[in-house]
Amino acid sequence: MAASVLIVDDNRGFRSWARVLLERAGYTVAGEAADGASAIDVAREFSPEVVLLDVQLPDTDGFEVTRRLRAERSDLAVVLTSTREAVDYGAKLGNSGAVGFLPKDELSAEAFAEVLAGGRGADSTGGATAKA
Amino acid sequence: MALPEGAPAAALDALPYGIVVIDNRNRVTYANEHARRLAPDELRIGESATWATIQQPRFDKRPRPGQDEQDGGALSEISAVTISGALGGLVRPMRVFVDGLDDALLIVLSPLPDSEGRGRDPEQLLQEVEAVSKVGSWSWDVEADVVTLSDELFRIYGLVPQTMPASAETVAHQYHAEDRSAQFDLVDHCRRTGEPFENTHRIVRPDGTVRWCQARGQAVIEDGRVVRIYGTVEDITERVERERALRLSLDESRRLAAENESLRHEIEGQLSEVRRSRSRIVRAGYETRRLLERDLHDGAQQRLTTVGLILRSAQAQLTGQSPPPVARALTDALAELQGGLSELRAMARGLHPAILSDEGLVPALQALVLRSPVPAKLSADALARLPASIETTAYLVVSEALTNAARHAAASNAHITVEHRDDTLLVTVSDDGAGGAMVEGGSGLRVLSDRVAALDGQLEVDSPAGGGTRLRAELPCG
Repeated sequence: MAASVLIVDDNRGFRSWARVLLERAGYTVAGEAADGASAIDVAREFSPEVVLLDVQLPDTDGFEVTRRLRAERSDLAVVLTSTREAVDYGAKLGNSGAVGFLPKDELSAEAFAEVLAGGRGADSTGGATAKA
Repeated sequence: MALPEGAPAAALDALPYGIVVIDNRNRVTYANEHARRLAPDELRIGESATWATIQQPRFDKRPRPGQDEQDGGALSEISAVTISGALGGLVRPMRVFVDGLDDALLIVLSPLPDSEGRGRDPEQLLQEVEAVSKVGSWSWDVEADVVTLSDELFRIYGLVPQTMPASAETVAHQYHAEDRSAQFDLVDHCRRTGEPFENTHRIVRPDGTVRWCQARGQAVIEDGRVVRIYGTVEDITERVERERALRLSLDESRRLAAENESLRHEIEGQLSEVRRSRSRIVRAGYETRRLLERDLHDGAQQRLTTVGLILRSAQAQLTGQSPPPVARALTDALAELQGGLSELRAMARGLHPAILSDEGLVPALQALVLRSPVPAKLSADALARLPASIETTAYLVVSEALTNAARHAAASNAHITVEHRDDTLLVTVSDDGAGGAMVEGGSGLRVLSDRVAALDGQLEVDSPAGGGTRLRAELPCG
């Protein structure tokens, strides 16, 4: 069964089309948030199974939001995403607690599923350079 | 003119000069002891003075004003006699007087100097000394109010010797108007108190030239009264001018030294300001690059990423019935977009890697090593965060070195070390490539060197041909 997803990104266009892409693949988009604080609130309210979370947010960064979300719910799967590459974040990705990292320009239902299945790590050597 | 009865013959004999009297028939009628000693053979009483040649008429029987014919003592000084013969080699006439009534000559003879200068006329000697030393002399008989001026004093005043009356007025006339009253006060003070004086004053010669003189004077005191004042006047114009030139030169030197000091301060200030402004410019450049990277990330990259998302979404909707050209167009568009995004990402990272601002130098260098086209190893101290300009410059040193190692030196390995010692960040990048890199070579090393220098650091490049390249940057962090 496809998971319910929370999409967190300050770019409305990205949120809308990510929703389209994921819903078409059978995912349920439980909600959207444009910043870190909203992400925490929406996650509490709708209890998604997965969060697609942008690293660059207006009020904080994706690493901090991941830490707080997982502090509340350790079973929550967080997929970090960014227009930058994994290598641009160094060891932070590996220590973030996220299940994986997906560059935005590689976002597809298949890639998303692959990350969730553990095919893509969230360390600095993962991402675009380790696409299976 | 014979000596009158009762004349002080002994006194005349004791004089240091020879005195000879010749009557109007040219016979010697008197010779004092000194004269007889000078020329015992020639100076015989009663014999003809064949050795004396009279050069101008000696007859002037007119009595002087105030004298009557009975006086018989009127003597006039003339210069009318030359001495010839054997006597001419021994003596010369120092003064010659003619008795206006008897038509007799009284000649004061001075012995000629011998080869060692003995026996020279003291007065002549004095004149010569004065002429050489440019020191004139004067004397004022206070009681008789008679002034005597030496020939040299006349010359100092620009006058022909003895052509003006020897008087206080003659002297006063030569004084510079501004110094005149002070000079009079000085001499008058000496006359009243007997105290010696010394001063410097100016005179004005008849041709208008101004000369500097040093005057010294002292009094002769008899019975508690000043009876005579005498002194010297030395022309010190050359010395004064030399001193003035020296003083001007010293003043000029001091002024130049002060000016140099002032210029040095000014230049140091300007240099310091240039250094500060160069550093500001470099930091501003870094900040601009950082903002550009952020703008690219937040703007164009985000939009294009969303475009990619839309295209992939459209692609996912295509079914087997969709026209093949549409599917191909979508695939090509996505491929082009992916390529464009990659280039844009590389450009943004080249401007300023976000990880450098977010995580610091060592994580940024670790990321750089991962992307390096040349296999590279990083050995770095654990660093606290440093000023952004230091971190950025150090990062650019490593980045440029790795780029050059791959692009120009065909290196197969590179090693990076980062150390923080004594408040200085030391960054070294060595490779095993072809070497031959130069700061002046027009490559990015010149810009890199300028960036390092702008932070008061130093960049050394050691790159012998065929021997690899070693870049070492020292960046003060204080």
